[in-house]
Amino acid sequence: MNKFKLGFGMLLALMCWGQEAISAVPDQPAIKHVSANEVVDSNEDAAKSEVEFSLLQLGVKAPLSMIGGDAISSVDFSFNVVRLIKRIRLNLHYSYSPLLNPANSFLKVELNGHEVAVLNLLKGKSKDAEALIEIDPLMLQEWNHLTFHYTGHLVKPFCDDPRSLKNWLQINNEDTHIESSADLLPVAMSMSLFPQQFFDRHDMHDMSMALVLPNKPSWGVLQSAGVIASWFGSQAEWRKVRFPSYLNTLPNQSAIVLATTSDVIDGVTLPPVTGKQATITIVKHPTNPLAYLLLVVGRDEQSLLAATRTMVTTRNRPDAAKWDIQADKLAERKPFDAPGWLTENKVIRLDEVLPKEGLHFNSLMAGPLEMVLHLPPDLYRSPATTVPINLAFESSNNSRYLRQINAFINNYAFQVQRYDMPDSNDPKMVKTRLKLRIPSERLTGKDTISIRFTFIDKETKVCETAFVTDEIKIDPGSTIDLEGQPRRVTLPDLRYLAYNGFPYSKMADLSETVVLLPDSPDHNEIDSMLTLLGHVGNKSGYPATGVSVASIKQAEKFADKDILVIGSLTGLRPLLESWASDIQVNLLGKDQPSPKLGLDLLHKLMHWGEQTLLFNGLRGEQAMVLVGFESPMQSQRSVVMLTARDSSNLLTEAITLNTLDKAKDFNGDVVVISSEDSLDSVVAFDWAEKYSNGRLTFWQWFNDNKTHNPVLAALAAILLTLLFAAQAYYKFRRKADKRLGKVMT
Amino acid sequence: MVFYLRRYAGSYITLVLVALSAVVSTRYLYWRATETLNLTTLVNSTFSIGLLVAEMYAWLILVMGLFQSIWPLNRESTPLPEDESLWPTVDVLIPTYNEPLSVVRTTVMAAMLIEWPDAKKKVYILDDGRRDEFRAFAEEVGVGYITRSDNKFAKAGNINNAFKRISGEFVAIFDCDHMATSTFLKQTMGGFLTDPKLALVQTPHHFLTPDPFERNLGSFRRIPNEGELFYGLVQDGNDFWNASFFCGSCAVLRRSALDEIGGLATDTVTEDAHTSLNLHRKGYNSAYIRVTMSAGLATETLGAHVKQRMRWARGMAQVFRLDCPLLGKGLTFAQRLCYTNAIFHFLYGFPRLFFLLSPLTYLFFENSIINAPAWVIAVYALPHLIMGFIANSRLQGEFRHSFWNEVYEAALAWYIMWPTLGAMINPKKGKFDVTAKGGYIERGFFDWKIGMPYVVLFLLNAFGLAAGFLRMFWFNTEDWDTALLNIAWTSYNLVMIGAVIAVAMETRQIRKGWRVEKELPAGLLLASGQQFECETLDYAMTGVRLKVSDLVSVKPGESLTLYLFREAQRFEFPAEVVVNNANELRLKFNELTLEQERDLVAATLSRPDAWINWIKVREEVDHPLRGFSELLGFSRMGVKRMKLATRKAA
Repeated sequence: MNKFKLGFGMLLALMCWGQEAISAVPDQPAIKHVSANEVVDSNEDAAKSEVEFSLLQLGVKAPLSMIGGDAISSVDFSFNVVRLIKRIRLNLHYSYSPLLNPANSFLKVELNGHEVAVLNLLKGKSKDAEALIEIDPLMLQEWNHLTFHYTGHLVKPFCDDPRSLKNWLQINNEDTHIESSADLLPVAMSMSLFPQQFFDRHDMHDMSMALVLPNKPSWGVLQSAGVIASWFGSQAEWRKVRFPSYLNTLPNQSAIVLATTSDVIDGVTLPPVTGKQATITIVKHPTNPLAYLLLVVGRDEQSLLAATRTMVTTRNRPDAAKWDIQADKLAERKPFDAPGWLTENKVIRLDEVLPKEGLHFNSLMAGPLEMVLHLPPDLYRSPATTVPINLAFESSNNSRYLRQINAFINNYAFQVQRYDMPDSNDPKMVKTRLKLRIPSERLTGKDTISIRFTFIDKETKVCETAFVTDEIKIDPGSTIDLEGQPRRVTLPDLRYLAYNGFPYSKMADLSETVVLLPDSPDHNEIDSMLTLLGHVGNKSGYPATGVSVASIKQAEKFADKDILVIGSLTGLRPLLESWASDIQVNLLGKDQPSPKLGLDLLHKLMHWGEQTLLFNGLRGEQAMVLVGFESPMQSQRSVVMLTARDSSNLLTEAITLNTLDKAKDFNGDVVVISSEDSLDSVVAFDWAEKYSNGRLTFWQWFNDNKTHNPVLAALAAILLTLLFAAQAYYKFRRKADKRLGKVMT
Repeated sequence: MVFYLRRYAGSYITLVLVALSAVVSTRYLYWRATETLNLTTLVNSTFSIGLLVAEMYAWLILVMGLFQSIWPLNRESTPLPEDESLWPTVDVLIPTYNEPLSVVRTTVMAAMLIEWPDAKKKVYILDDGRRDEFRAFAEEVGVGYITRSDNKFAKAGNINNAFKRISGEFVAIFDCDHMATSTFLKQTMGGFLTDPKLALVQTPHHFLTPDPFERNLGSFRRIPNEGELFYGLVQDGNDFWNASFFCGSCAVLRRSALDEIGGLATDTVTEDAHTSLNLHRKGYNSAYIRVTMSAGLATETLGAHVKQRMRWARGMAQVFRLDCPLLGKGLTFAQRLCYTNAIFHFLYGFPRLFFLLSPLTYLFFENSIINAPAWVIAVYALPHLIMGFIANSRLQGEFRHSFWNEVYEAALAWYIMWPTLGAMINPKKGKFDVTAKGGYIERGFFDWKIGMPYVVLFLLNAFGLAAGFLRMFWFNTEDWDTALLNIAWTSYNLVMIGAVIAVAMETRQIRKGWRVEKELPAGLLLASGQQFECETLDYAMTGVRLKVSDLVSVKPGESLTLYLFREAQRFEFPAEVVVNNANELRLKFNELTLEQERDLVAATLSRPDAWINWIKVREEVDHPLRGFSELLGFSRMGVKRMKLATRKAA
């Protein structure tokens, strides 16, 4: 497995000038339900299915704008391997400049490098044009690359400037969609193909994996379910994850069944365990011919758990429907070694995070250089620290030259560099080095760095005579330098959980994490736990083979772990009562506890009123609350509590947390989610006492505090004053003596 | 800690406190300027920027003031050579315009009594009033009399006119009510002989009668008066920077230097400071000797006091416009700062009024002119204010009690604003007003004319206070901290304005003329031949009050002889008993001859020790809270007087 997440996407992304960067990998497709627009006709022998997705659902979040005489945009898609595509067509909705000359302006559509259509851009139809393009399914590949190549010329141009802003075409990302119909093929019931029977990474939909558990599942079974969920999460990449659980009932869809030999699941006969510990079998769904079941049966809880751990960590699974699993002992992991993010304390070359094609641009509008960085979450995020990128590149020097570079992190401009016109004897490609300093304050753990290059003409030209392209060649040896970066996290901050699954993901296998549930969790609470573990697995890129799951009654036993508490207010009541004075909000709705005395008493008093108001207002409503605070049982350990008045709301909470677009809203230690008109609003508050994980050297601390730590500033001022006064004292005394004639000058 | 530190005298600690105060105040002002302006509406912007400007002014004055008085020099007299033939010639000039002879004659006699070789000292009355009475008096006592046909350029013109007629190497100048002690020249002249570039030696102005503040507040000789800060600290601090300036009187100047700059400056109405500025520009030095060697009469009424300050303010503003000390040749950086501070100091009118009005913008209109939560304001402002008080208290405590500055300034703010503004706009306008002295006030009356702006301010702030409580407990409960802050501010303003009103309420002056409380050794020779040793309680030019044992049995109307002593000398004066209480005897002098009159001056005002231990109850150290409680008392007095006056008027 590639240790570094390739942020740049599968291939060179959408190249479109003057528009915000769009990654070809959909960050978060908006498809809500897997089966919603999937029509399965299971009456015939070979099941047929139709599926359709818009560019928006493929992750294109803004219309594709193409400006200038020659521009290219592209988008990637793929199909689940079970689909044998019989028919595919592109329903294209687009608009273009009414000033275009139809004689020599056109839009060429290509699939995987082969032309599928050339659209003439006729006059009078420039608004809301529509084209239906049939595509030969034989052109499809495993990963498909749909390219729009636009060539435009203006009518009667005064001067046909290829970079004219009047020269444009725009493809509607919401209406443009790909329709397909396919025969659904069976997948061989071989463990070696697993998990294709359940999930295929070519599928463009969100992930929803049903888990079937025995009635009143034991903690060990729940723990196994957690391992499975987090493993699927780690495979889900950009997809949102969901794990509906079924207690002793079989859903009419593919599912994973977890049980011990002593358990019974209605509707399915559990195969006998022939292995030493557990047996895993893939069977057809008894009622749905297109669905499969994975039956994981262990001799006891421990065997089941060991088996699931082995299943998710073994690469070579047997080429058979049945697998008598022999549990392996797993190697211990080190902190911060999750595959989901870049290795710390290392100098990273750009060609490690970007494919070669992403480092070279040569077109009318060169760039932007885009990369999605998954930096370790414990990089110290302070106003005083930066993460340096040592960029080396060559830029073309012809009738145009590189004038300016703008660097952005998550659309926030952090650096601008201007260049002067090169000398006349400079080479055709000018070599430049540039140190970009990413403000670490802006880091989230999944960050898009975008570097835009602006070229301008050396002279003002009346007309462009030749077609001149701008070229940028990035040196693949350019580096991102994480070496010696300070590492410290100030908690509680729920953004870390939303973006990175942190602090739980510190140990990628969650071996320092316990999930505490009410004594007899209902399926909502289980679903939420699974979704949350899937979320953490998704961020860390590794299954939670070491996670513990237990009842809140056993909290004391797990004092040395980071704790995730999930449950309804009623279910969590005993824990809430015993921790009442440690939680910064009173979720039980009694009068607010008076804030503890401390240095920041004023700060606390101010928020005390605010809290009381807020929670009085929410009382009785469908409030969903996430609270992060330092563990009452051990310092520097974290607790995040996911709770709601009604357990049916917990899942919404977990899903909101798993929604990348919302992650930035979790900027506090108390997050209140409320659903109004099916719109989830996320409001964050900063109330808890802060604690820190990680150490800074004295100089890192000083560097960070010199500008805004009042105590330091006061000390410095006093020190300087004392020095100044000493200096002044001797000077003035001499001067006074001179004035009084006591010393001769 | 800082309070602990200040028990240890020492310039190093002063320097630390001063620097800390400057740093904290600068930080505060930077914060105010960069983060707290409310520019949402025109009204808000106006007040917000206005207050900032006022605070910037206060900061400037604070920092320049700290700089100016960072190292008071405490200069001692330079001894004169033994050989009197080396002593230079001095002309003692006493300019007068409209003051009565009764005031001037004592001054002239004191001037004649200044010890200096007779051949090398001449006293001149420079009479701009062209009065025969004065000419006759001059002839009678044997001093020079110089007059002229016009009064062009007032006092400066008068002195410059005299320069045409006199030729001494040095001139000592005394206002016609400044009576010098006999050692004046011996103590001031030494420096001129060792430093040929020394052009000016200034000594303090000291007043033997209470100024309107002292009289109306009853603080005479108890609490440092307005002038003490200047003569006790500022001039001494100036001396460190070679920037002590001429104050018009009680000073000696080098004639050749004056001639080089064309005599006293006549372009502005404050000829004195302007003259020394000219001297400093020419590279001459100045010195200040902080020893009281003369005494004068303070202005009688608040009206006159205000008028005098208006003239000074106008004059200083003129100097700034016509001969800006920040520009031009010849000055050191420190001299520029010292002069600029002396001038800027008079611009307090507008800022002071702004501070008195600012809380009302919130209390009445709910405009927040400092755009920050109340507690943040407190966090930034309190260190600034507290350190300011501590630093000032340490530097100035002996010469001005904490918070008194505010009262002195507030009382004049309204009046001083207009002449400074006028002079800043048109510096050529404005004439010389002579300060009226020597009169007396017939009855106590509330000076409505002068007090009016402050009565209005008082009422506004009082309504503001009421509005503040309504806001805090009724209308703006969610904003209670802001309301509280403004309540505190407006209450502080009320205290200040109350004290100002107490000043504006003139109290009755009990006696005609002045008396000096001083214990001097005395003796009595009764008609019967009996002799008694006794001590004076106070003296005047008309009589004395004696502390006697009850053995002295004299009746009112009885004639006797009073002995006064000065060192080995004994002076005799014929006197008559006015009152004989058990142990207090009041005597009235019979007609004194000129000789006797001069002896009386010699025995009293001219004594070298005449003004030693002037302040009766010298509080060891100033304490900011004590300063405030003093004011609180006077403020209550002011409110009481105002009530009384209203009742009387009704």
